[in-house]
Amino acid sequence: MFRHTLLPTLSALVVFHAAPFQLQAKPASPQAVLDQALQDLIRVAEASRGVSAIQLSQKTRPVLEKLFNFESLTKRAVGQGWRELSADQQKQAVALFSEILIRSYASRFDWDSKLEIQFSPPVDLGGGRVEVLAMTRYGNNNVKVLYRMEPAANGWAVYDVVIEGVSLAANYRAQFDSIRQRGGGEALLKLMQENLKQSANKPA
Amino acid sequence: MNSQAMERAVGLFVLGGVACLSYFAFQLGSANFRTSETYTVEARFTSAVGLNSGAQVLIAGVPVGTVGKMKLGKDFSALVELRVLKNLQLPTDTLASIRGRGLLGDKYVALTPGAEDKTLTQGDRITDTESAVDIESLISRFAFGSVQPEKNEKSEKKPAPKE
Repeated sequence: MFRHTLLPTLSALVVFHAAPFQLQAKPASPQAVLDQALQDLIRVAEASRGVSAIQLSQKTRPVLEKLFNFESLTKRAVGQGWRELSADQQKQAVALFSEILIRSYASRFDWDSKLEIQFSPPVDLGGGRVEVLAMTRYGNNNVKVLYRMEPAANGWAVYDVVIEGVSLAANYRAQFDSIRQRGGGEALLKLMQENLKQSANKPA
Repeated sequence: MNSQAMERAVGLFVLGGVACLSYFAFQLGSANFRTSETYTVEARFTSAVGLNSGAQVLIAGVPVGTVGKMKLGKDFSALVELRVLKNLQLPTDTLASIRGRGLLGDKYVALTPGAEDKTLTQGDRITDTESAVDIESLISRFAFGSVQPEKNEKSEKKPAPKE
């Protein structure tokens, strides 16, 4: 049901080979935060070589929770339906959606692929937000990934990822909107729960 | 009818034709929102290829505005002026996406309202955007990228057929 647009991005962050990276002077710059997350994910992934997708998702969750502002991302993905959810439902939606994204990433993880990423300096989007372009080379492919980031406790957190012009938040908002219009917030949460059940039942 | 009257009639006919053509071009170009009934916001796109001034701005397929001036930003992004109806309260996290009517159709801007309580006002900028997708480039990337991993996967999971 879901299109996994996050996967190339997360793979781009994670995949196994630290690439030529132009580090900026400031340690807490958006690029530094992205690079640190990349290093952490590589370390976690290497230490967990061969584990199942579910286990990998559990191990990488702390790193990804630090990198992504999942609440902001979920709010953007749900769009107008967010206001219709109660506070409890919003919490539930964040938990479910983040789990969906992390599991999606883990299920596509490939320990043997190599990746090169080159970050460009951040572009100011206004309102304290920035956008970092990451030119990602994965096998024979050059993929343009934009990380949209906002200030967070640890410096910067990603609130949307745009891969080759396709926004993660926009992609999910389009899907969630049609579900919400048909069945409301409950239907949205049910859909997410079913998606997680399906991914849990998939053979490793 | 003398020749002078005939020339006048032909002239009037041509002028009428030009007036009709102008009217239809104006209507079909969707420039049917008066400045007084719209406000302007700016959307920043990495690329606005294929989008033209006068193109439609839609929400759920319903026209709510038009594309105004387009200019190049300092970081070489495309800054696109969107003139939308004054009565529209668009949340600040509204998404603007450049979409096309089919592969070869005209481009338009699709707005998807978000969840923020604050709304956009005259001169605000939409930064949550999706640029026009370069289909040719995507197709070539998928063509290059999808072959090898799948081949490896199959060769690992499926035993070679016995002869």
